Amino acid sequence: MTAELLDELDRIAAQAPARIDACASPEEVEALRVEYVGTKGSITRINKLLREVPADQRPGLGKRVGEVRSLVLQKLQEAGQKFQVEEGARRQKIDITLPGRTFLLGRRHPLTIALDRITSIFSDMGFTVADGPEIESEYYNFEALNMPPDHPARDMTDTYYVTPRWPLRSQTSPVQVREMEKRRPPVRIIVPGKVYRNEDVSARAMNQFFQVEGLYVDRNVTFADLKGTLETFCKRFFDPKTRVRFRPSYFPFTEPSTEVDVSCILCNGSGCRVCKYAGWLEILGAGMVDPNVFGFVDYDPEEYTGFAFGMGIDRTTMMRYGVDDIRHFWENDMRFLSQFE
Amino acid sequence: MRISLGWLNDFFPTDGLSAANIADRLTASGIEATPIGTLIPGDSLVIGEVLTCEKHPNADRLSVCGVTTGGAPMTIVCGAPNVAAGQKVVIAPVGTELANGMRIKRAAIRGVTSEGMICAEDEIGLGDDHEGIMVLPPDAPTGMSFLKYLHLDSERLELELTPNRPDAMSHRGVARDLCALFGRPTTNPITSPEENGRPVEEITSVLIDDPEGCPRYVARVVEGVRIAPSPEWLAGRLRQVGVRPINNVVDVTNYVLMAIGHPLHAFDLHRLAGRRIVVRAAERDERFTTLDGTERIIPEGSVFICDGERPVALGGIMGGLNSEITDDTTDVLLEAAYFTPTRIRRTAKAVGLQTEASQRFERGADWDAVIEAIDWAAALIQQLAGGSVAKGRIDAYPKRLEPAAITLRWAQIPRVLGADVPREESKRILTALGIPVRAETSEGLRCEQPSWRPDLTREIDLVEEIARIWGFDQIPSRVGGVGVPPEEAPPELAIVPQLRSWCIGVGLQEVITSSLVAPRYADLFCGDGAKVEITNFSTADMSVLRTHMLPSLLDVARINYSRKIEGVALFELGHVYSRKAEDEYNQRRVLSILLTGSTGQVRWADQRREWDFYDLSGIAETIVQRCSLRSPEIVHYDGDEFVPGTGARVLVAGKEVGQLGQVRNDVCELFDLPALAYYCQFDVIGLAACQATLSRVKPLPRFPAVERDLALVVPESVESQMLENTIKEAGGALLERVIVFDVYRGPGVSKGEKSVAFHLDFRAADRTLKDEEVDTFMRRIVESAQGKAGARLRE
Ligand SMILES: [Zn+2]
Repeated sequence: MTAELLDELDRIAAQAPARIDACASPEEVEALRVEYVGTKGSITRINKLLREVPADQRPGLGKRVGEVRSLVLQKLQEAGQKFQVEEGARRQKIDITLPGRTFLLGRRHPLTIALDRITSIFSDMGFTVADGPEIESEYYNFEALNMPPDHPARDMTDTYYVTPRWPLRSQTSPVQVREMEKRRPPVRIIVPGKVYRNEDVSARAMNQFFQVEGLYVDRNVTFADLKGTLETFCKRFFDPKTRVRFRPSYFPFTEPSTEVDVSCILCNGSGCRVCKYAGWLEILGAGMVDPNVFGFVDYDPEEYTGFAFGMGIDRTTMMRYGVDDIRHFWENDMRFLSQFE
Repeated sequence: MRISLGWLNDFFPTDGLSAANIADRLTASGIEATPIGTLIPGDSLVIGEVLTCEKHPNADRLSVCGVTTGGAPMTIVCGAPNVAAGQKVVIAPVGTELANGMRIKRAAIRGVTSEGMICAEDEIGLGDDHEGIMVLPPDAPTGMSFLKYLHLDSERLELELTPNRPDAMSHRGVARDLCALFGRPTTNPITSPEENGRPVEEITSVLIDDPEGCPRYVARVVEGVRIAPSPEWLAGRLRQVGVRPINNVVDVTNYVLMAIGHPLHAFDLHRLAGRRIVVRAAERDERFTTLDGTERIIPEGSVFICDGERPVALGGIMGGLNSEITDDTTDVLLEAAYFTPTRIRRTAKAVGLQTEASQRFERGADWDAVIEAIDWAAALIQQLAGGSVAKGRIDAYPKRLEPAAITLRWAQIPRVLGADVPREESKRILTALGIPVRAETSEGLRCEQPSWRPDLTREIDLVEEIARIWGFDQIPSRVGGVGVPPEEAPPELAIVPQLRSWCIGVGLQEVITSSLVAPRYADLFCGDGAKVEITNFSTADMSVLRTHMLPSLLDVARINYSRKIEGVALFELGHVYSRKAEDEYNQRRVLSILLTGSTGQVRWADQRREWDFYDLSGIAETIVQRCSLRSPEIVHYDGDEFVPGTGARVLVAGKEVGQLGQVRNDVCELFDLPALAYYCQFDVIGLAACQATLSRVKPLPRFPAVERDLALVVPESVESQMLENTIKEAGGALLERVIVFDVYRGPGVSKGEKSVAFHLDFRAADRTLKDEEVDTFMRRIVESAQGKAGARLRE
């Protein structure tokens, strides 16, 4: 059998170059390609038969198959090049610029996009998502956050009530207390959620908005951790070059308390209309958990410390994209929503 | 609140510091401060004297004045009727920019060149008077800057104060922080009166009947005063911080208030019946007219300052019309008291009055400053209005207020801050803020609360004081202290992002809508329980917490339709709310989906059409599939949202996880929707509960499947899911897949019947199935379908 195959290879080697040269069209070249090296071509067939020849003859025959195959491929390629100039004739007539079929992929709401980014940055830093009720008891919304009845800080927000003892939560902070009641430290949670303020709806104000609250309680948590965590967040959320400023402030449930400003994301700190020419934007409130709050959840303030922070996302999102009316977020005009990724 | 730098300098040496320097340091230490310039613009306004005043040769109503501001006379054309030679007036020279934005230019007015303007009050920005030019007293020094003359030349700061710092609601209070920040000593301008009158006890008396509401009440009397306007220096300072000057006595009380923060009140002693003061709690429904002229119903438990017969002031909030200082007042009783914050707060809130006094008392005033305040006020009245100050003061102090003793352990500072402030620096800061250090040990300090700092009672409060003055920027940032998450989020939260991504994957746009809706929307469908209403809503359209997601989504469709967007495919992950019992509320997270109108597939190659029921059920199936790794079961449901016959429950393993259907036509009409709408909702907790994960992959098949098609003619009433279940049951374990690929009605199938065609795949794991085997299965399937569904093979 080996001899027959070698003969056939010789015949191919002798005939193929001339036959290929004689081709008058690319179709003819293609036909010869199929005849010799296609999946059922003669050289391919011989190659498949290799395993049936005696083992000692295999290398010699294999080498010859390789030689002839290379020769044929080379001639085919040359012939192909000859016809390339004429390839225009082979082009398919299709208007590739006509729009394709509509393939609809949905989109997230812009506020979700912001919430997801914030949540994921804090998840990377070890925070777990938690959640709580929006119809909240006065105890969790105020008292356990160190705001007893008649506390002046209750004036800091205008609160909606469903009964005198049940407000709609005016901040996500009640979830801090609820989570601490549920477990022992370490507590490291992030709480994205809706909060309510009794305000007239206008271009600049909505009576509900989204906040993200964070809490970290453990042994040896300090203000330095608060700074490091929030600086890392701001640089990742805005820009690595963002500058972060911590300014003493007051919240009833943290002490020391701080406002966190970032260098204006629009003018980079040089001053513009959005930052009211201050160069800074106030984006976060934070502080070390007040020992009184630990008292409400039965944590020993001599053993544990912690920090908490909260930020509203609606205004930041407005600034970031130049949205001039907060109501756009709530109207859901498709032409508005479809602009976001 | 506003402060003036000139005034601040009375308490803190500001030399070398600009308004911006001071504002920056204050802001960095917790008092947000912004420089706001002088009260009125006009650095170049100057006092001038009218030397000559003649009628304009070409205009009846104009005068041509020769004016000097100290140098050579200049000519100014003036239109005011009251201008006259000899007057001292305010000159705006060429180049001045006035408060109204107007810039003074050299101009020829009817042939006479005018080199400036003589100003009226409103042009300067001092008032609204435009009757004529402002005429100054004859002793006003010609050539002097007008702002300086009125004591209005000082830079000012606008302060944004947090409610824990009532002490900073005064120049002295801010100065205390500045002294600690800049390491400069405070200065003290406070004076005491010359007590040249008869003993105060001979004139009046104070009785406190309500020591709970008013622990301390101090009174002084000044007799024989002459009420007059205040001098410019005092009026100017008040104006700069936004207080309108009234008369010398009232202005002095306001001056002391803005200077050191303690509210005072001045009574006309002759108008106090029995010439005495009684402090008591208000009873029910007492009426009282405050000095703004409004009669108010005073809530029970308010603190009333009374004379021998009737209330004369609403304590800590506002004086009464019946005892206020008038132009005829000669004898004055001064009040400096300390009121209990919660009592003042309750009353101020109930009567809706926010005054300079109430704002301070309700946050906590300085209980020791009463003495300084009343002494200084008496001294200033004596200085400005004359009279004799009665000897001594009455100090009714039935309920002593004690400062808190605070122990500060050195170890707590680094424990909280993560930075070790040097001990000497900590001590310096506390001392500079006026916090007395009573003792020092190796462990820490024993301090005392200053009477003006209601916010300092605990160790942590002192740590905060040290931190804010030392500077937050000196505290290092530590990263990496935070480790791995202590635990995973609960499944009903963890599933939310997944649900969202599946919805996006099937082409739905996420929306976020208001949880507060109009009552008519809340009443549209049954919720989980009673609806929850807001008691203090501002608009009725947002007064109820939503009971159902459908109206919210229909409203989005309505808004879009009204803007010519004729078709939406939406989802929202939101809450619905209900009241389960008294003080028990329920909040349930729902994934809701709405399809209506055009699919939005409108390009040349698309099939243009509207969303239909099977788009919705397909989406619902996809979501359940991805979540539970199995197909849902769809069963009939007559929900009040849906057109009868189209409503369905979506079940997974027999548990209901959601509902879907075509929205009732009358509901669509309520929202002006011209197209059919399809709605689906899932309970997120339900979906989370049926979540499954792949535990083991199936090996890929090694043998080919045998494929068969089967068309069954059945009565219309037979539903495909039932047929499919019958086929699966009869087909046995080797029936791998059943797909409905056609539903046919028409020629060849009689009326009242339909043909449902299935594609079946049979496969064995260990061999190629023989046709004869599969024929057996097929016969069994047809028999079973015949028996259970009255089906026959379509010829
Ligand atoms: Zn800016």
